[in-house]
Amino acid sequence: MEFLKKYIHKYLLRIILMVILTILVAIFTLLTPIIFSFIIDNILQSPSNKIDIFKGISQNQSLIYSAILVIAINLLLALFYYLRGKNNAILGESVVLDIRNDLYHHIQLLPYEFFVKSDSGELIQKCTNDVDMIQRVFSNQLSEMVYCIMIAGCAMCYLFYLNFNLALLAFVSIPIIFVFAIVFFTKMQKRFLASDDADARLVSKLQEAINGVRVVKAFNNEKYEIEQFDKRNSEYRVITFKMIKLLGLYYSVSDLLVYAQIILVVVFGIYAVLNQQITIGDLLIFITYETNILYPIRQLGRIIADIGKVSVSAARLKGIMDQPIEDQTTGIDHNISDDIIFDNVSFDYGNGIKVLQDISFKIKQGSVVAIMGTTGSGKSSLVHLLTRLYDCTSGKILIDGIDIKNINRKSLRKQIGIVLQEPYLYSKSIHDNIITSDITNNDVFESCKIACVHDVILSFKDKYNTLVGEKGVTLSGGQKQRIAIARTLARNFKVVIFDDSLSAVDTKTDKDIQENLSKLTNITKIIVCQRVNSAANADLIVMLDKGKICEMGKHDDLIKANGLYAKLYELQNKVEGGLTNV
Amino acid sequence: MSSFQEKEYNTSSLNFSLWKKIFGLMNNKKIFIITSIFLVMNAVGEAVFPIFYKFAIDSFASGEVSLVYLPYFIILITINIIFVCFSCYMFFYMAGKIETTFSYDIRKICFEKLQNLSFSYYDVTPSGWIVARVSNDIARLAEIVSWAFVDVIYGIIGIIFMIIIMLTINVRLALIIIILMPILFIVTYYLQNRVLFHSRKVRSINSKIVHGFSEGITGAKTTKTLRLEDDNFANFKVETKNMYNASVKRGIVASLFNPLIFGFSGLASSLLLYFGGNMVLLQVLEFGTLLMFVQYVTSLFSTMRPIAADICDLQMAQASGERIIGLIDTPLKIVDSEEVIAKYGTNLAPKVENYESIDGDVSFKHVDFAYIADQYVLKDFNLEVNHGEMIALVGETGSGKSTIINLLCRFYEPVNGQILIDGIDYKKRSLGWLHSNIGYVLQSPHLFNGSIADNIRYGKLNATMDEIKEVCKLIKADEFIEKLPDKYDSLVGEGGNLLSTGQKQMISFARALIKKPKIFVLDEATSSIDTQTEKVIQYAIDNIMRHHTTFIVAHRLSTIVNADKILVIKNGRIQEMGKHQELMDQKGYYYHLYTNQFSEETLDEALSTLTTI
Repeated sequence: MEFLKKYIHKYLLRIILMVILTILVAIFTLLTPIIFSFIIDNILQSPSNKIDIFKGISQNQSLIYSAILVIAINLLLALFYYLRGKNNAILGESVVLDIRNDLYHHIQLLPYEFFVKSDSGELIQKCTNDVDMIQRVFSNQLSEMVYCIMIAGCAMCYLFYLNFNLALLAFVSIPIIFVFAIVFFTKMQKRFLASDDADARLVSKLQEAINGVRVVKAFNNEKYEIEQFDKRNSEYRVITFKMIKLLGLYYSVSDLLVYAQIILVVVFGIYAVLNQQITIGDLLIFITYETNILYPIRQLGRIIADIGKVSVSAARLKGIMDQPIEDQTTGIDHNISDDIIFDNVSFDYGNGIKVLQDISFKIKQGSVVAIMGTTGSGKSSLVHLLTRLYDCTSGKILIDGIDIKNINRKSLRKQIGIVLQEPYLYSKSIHDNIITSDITNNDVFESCKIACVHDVILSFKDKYNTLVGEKGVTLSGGQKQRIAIARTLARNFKVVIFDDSLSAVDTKTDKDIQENLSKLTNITKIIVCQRVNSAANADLIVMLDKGKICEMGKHDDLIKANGLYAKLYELQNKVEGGLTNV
Repeated sequence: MSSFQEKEYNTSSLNFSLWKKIFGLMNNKKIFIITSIFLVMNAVGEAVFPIFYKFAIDSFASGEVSLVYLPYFIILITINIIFVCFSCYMFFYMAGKIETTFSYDIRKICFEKLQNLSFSYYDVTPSGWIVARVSNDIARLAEIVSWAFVDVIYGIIGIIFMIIIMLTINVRLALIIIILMPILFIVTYYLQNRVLFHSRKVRSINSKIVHGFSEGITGAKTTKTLRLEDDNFANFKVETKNMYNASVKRGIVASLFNPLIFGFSGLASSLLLYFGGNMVLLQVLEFGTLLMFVQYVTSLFSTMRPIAADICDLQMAQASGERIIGLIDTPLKIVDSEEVIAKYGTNLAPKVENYESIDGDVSFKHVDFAYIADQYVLKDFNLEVNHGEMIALVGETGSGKSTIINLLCRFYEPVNGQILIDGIDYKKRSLGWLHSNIGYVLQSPHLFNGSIADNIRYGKLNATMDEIKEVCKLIKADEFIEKLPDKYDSLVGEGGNLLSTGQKQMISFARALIKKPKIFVLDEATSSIDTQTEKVIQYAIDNIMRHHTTFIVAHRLSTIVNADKILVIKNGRIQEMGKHQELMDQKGYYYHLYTNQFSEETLDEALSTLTTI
């Protein structure tokens, strides 16, 4: 519940208004029976035509006044109901608006590491379902709870005022009904869950049979599948029916309690009237209020059981909000103008397993550096350190002589861009994926031309307005990578890292893109790659093996050294040669 | 999948013939009659209560009737209470029974239908769509049919009964209430429709918000590297603000219901008070009766909202109903003829004793085939296969190689021409007969949730543990299985995800082997295959398939160099056919494909062994 404190505090006025309006609704609901009671006792049963309290107004006239009063009270009640409903809607939605925005914003600022580790499906689930749960509390359950308490409280007070003994009698069953409801619904949660589980099993069986339809048919197992499905289907039927029966039992038993309470009051009320302890009008009030109290009390049990679930949701959301966010602003702003130096850099993901070990090399401003190595050799980790997606465990990375730990992340990421190996394209148009506020459409086209994807985009029916994702075209892996490259290039970074971002592009296009990139001489380029040909023209080639640099130098030097790089070059060339011969 | 078009359904008015059809699907229709009886009981019992209160006030409290009769009064009212509570329970019981029976029955019908539908249906219908129909639509229909339907009936019975009571007691007072009722109902119904309208809007914005979260979370890494945090947040805020506006609007419309009811009952009560009060003064009416009428006003007016809501629900559920009926009424494309069924039985009740054993000769004779009318994928296709031969199918996507497999397995049937097995048209025997003789292996294996033994037993439902172990030994799966903590009882997880793809492939071979089939089919992989899986397939081809008629859609050409016939398919025709060496010598398409793939393999190998150099 700690999670909700902030929002309760922020919308305290709305909550107070909710309480006031709910109290008004409760009081006005209780007023009409009092008028009727008054009419019975003082007008309809009055021995003379003139009514004492109204100073001699005729019975007929006082009936008119009472009728107007009834309308007036009901209209006011209607008004309060409306205002309360409106206030509740605004309250619930405001809280949820804030929670959604806070969650989203917070999640956006969480460190890279968080997303590597967490299950995104589960996270999305929390952000939607748990938030809905909280919405219901604020827009509905909270005010229902206040209503139940208020109407029961006010009615009790008045009944005690009318006749203490009869009132005591009128409330004997309240604790029983209340406790019965709470105990029942807490228990009921298990049944609800059991039914949901059975439903989930049914659906997963269904899904499996449909996705595996080829296997089912080829194995001639339709009958078997039908039997299997039937098992789950019956299981669901039995469990759900049990749940509904129990619910029926609850409603009928609590109905029984409610009615028993009402006749108790009716019977003893008759005696009280005959003994002239109360008037007939009072008896009417007793009977009407009894229903006004008992049903809300029964409801209250259910609401309390429901609200209990909310603390679980709130705790889960708090778990997300408690994740420390990435500090993007601490440190100096720095304009990159010179070289980047890796000085004895080591790195592990906090589990003691060294991913990078004693890495030292220099990236000259405007140069092209290729980083090669097998999967798991630490290539990606190495470049992630540059934009401080992670910070190195020991050693230093210096930009213009400044340790990057002293430069704020925002400033770094403004100048150093990464094209990820598996880039994410947002589900909007291609154009909107690429454009930023400070570039023109022409820049977008230019970037796409460099990434060799301009012609591809023009071949789509909607060209640059083509939607990406579920509702739009399905792009191939290579097309996605190229659009991601264009997107990064359009942002005018000073340093661009290509994290194996041409892996799904065919060899020829790869070559073309490399050529286009080589014309952008003012950008420092760091290319993480697998193909020798992508690396051959680099000013520096760094070969990584198990987190260490095993070879480093220019293409020609490495060939001369006749090490790993040379062997790879020979192999790949043979293959490529073989291809052109065919 | 792109050809799949969701039909739009009209929900503006109630479609009675549809509902009749839906109810017709239920096995047990007596249940509705029994439920109606309890409904009437409950409605009547509830409607009678105000009469008791009137009696208590008019007769006992006023001293008109002696208290000697009070015990009788108590007994009567107790009976009524028990009557009402019992019928309330029965009402839940019956409605619950209808709901669960209905969903059980319809799901069963749908699932059986789905099992009999042919591939042409699955090829154009997304699986998510089918699942949504059978789970969500049926759940919704069941809920509506039981609760909403029952509720409407209950409400209407209650209203009629109360009206009758009122009319019998005092016509003039009754008329005041009866005149106001339809007006209230129309306004309520109108409001309910507005709520529905806003709810739809809220739902569509909600899906955008869910999408926003999903994008914010799955795209987080990219967002970070491009510093899009602020832009994304700004976009997201627009959606949440839209959500706020739409939801508040809906909330405001919804908060008009209570005021409406109280406004109307205020009006009705004051009219009753004035007219009825005067009647009391003239001593033509007892005031207890007046109070009874006031009570009826509240109960009558508060039933309007549920009835209006239920009618709206019924309209909304019609779309679900039509989709379900649409699914059930889908015509079956591939069925056995009546003579075949007479001899071999159906899939659900096969006459296995009549199944002939087979050798495994297969021939395609002048086969034409088209998935979509007139767009032929195969044209005059001919092929002779002797039992024990291995046939490899090679070609680009869309060349028709999968079609040949689909036809062989009778997932589809030829448009023209015949497919003969052991010299007899396979349509003259049953689907069950054919499938019981085919060992089918998908190159991207699909396992079912359950244990390893369960999955292997899928090939032969009555297989013993020894048989299972035996086939596992054949495919060399026993080595890894024995190392697992639960051995053959180890669970494979959803879709077999707890196993590696190579292990999954072994299980899927074992599953096919245990049938002792005469014809093996290695169907095309739906995704690329890793080296481990490749090795399993190679092992199976080299050691197990050689004694059976085998059709294999080749992924890696290196696996099929030993095939008896390699068929290069292009545009639905055999372009090249022969053994590996013959085709290599021809230096045609196969040669080109083979050399190309070979060099890529070398490169991959070089990279994977890089560190060990």
